[in-house]
Amino acid sequence: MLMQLKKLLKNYRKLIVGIGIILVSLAGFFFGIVPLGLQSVDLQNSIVQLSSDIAVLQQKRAILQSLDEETLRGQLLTLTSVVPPDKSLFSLFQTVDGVTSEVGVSVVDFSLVKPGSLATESAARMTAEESSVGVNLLPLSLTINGSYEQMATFLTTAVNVRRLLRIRSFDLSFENPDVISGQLNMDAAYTPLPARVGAVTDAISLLGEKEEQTISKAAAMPLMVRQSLTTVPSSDQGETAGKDDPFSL
Amino acid sequence: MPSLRSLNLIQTKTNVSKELELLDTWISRVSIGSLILLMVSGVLVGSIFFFLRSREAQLVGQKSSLVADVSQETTKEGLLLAIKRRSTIVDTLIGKQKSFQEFFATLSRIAPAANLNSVSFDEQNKTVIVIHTDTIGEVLTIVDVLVKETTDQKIRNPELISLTFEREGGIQASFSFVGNL
Repeated sequence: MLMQLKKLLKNYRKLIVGIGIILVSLAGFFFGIVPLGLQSVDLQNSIVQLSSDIAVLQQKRAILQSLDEETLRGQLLTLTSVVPPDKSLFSLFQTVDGVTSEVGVSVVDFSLVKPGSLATESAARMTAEESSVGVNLLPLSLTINGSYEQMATFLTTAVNVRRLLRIRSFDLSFENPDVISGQLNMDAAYTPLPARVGAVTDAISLLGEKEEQTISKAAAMPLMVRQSLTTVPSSDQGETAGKDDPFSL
Repeated sequence: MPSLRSLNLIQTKTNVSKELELLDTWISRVSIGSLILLMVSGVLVGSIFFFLRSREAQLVGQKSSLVADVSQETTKEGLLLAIKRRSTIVDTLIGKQKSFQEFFATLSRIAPAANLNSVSFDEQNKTVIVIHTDTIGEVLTIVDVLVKETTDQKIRNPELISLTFEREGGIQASFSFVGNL
């Protein structure tokens, strides 16, 4: 057996060596070159993604560095005076008090309406509206007395002040030409500030023309509420945790 | 004549077929070729790999620096995000506000305050007014105004709900319409 093997090796040595080299080359190709090539492809994909992220980050840094923090705080304060981040019953009372005082009507009754006490259709409509606009609505009921002109002025003024009030319905009873009793169903909106700033590689853009116009429109509305600094609870910002609460006013 | 002693019956050379020799040659060439190919591709792919790896490391460093810069501005980013979201909401709410200035202007054209007993306004902008007049002519005047306001598209769906002749001589009428606010 051994003799035969030796004879075989002697006869076919060159062939065996050649085949061995080819096998080694193939092994080197499939276990070395190919994986290295695949890793290179992954690296290339990673480089493309990194380049894209870097472009976004450069633009984001440029935008953020061009903004003034105090200006932003002022703009957010203006908007939160229209729609505050919480129920803010104090601002609600102040607004109603401010408008009634300015117009000259007298407040007979002012109460917050429990959402459960609303008619099913009204409640459903309110819920749908809250969802579509992205706010919470605080329904309230107001009874006021005044002249016809005062009623008209109140209804016209109340929908154009800060904090924003919406008049859903009203009933005016003309007890006599000089004294009218008005039963108003209104609501005030509120919505919390965002809790997270998002991923660091999320793109941002400057305020657009429409947003600037909205802020101007809001600033032009008479302010019935005495503004105070408001701080919202600090948020969990994940990898972007900064030193200060980004949403504090 | 070769002698018996010089005869050599043991074969010193093996007989290799011609096909095997050709195969042998071909295998040799292929093996050398594959070895050269392996080395060349190894150098090429290896170079590309190391270049890409160093490029990636460079970009990772650049990204880390930018992330640090952007993280320093988290407060501004938060304020900007809050402003963008809230301005959309405020814009929507302001757009949905009803103009009661227009409403009272229309109402004053329809019926003077002296004739009004009550005014009701609901969520669908439907208004119900109850008026009190001395003569039927005044009621007809109000009807004419309602028709005109409808034609001018200030209101729609005007209806006479009720008409009551009071014992004292007056007339009480109730109308409804939907204001275009």
